[in-house]
Amino acid sequence: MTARAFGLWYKVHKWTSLICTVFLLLLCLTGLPLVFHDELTAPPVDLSRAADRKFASLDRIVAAGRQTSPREVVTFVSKPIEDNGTVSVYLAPSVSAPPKETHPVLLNEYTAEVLPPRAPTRFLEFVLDLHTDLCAGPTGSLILFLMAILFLASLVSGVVVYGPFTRHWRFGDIRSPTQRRARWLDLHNLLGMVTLGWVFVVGFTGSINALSPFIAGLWQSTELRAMAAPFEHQPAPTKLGSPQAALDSALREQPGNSLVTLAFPGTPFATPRHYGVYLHGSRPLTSRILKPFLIDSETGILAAHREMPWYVKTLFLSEPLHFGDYGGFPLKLLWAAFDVVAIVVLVSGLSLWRLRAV
Amino acid sequence: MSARTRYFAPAFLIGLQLLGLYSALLGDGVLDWLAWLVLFIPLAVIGACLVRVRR
Repeated sequence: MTARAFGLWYKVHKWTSLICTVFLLLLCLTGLPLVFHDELTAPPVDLSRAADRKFASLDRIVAAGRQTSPREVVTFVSKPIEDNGTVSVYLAPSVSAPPKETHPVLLNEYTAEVLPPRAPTRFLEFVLDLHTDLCAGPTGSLILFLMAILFLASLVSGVVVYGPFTRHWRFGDIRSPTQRRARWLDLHNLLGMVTLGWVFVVGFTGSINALSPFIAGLWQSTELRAMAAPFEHQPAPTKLGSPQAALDSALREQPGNSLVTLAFPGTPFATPRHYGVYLHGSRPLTSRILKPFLIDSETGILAAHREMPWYVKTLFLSEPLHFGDYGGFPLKLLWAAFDVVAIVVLVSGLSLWRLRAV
Repeated sequence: MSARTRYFAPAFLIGLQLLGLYSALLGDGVLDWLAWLVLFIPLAVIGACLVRVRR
């Protein structure tokens, strides 16, 4: 590599890293508790071990959830992908209420009993908002997408400048403590290169996740609209039919699948007349990819079903690869360890820049 | 020797990480264990390098 080319790559690495480092530090710090989101928000009792018990009917669950706030309407019913014996019923002042006015009621999936709200949920929701969109909605998501692109550029340029920087050293050499800047540089090179695979995957999937509000919007305005188009002339239902019957209709089409979300008519992921039923498969890979069904809310008959398009499937697969919640608790511990290493890489990069300026 | 280790070792570890991330997606049980093992190796390498420096 010529000196000029090296200088250019070095500048790309320095400036792309400097611009995105503060954001990445925030993302790494907020990402650490989010790795353990499921454990921190777990119900007080492990309900998933009650294998001999039968699930309560969705109708009972919805009725029990609605009873906690009779003036509100049910907008969604949602179950976690990793079954823990709980189900959430979301209530809002109206079906068209913004997400911030929607609140969940946690229930026992077997008895339909209302469970106490999870204590750290509010803190984790704030951390999640900060991590996904800087608490700034779609604008924040776009900013994070741009930062993720800069980060990927800094990774590529970092690999290019790694060779010339380490040409006199063996892999893993770290110079003596008296050479402060050289020591930081060696540590930065070692940790950065050893964790590059994980960091690249998490950064890349993070850039896709940052686009999730836009991907969801695109799917609603194209695919969901096309699914609902043949029924546009039909009137809104006068009385809602059974949610359990709607779920059963979808399950008859996809036996062996499980419910993730049931969206009530009028909400953004349903139509004015249909329930939106979203199922997932039972294998680790298929459990992440949702399948949408529209079920007539009066008759309980399947109205439409289609596979998710490639861009939505890409988003679904990006989520586990970003949060590390797909390989059991040991994978989460490893994820947290890689996250801490990434924080050290960021801090060492900042130290290199600061010591150079002195 | 120097050039080989400084490129080969990171490339090998990156390959392990991609294998680990992918294998956990494919299934439970043995594949999970494989993922945990191969993702632990890069962290162990970091630990070994830091211990060597302290000595």
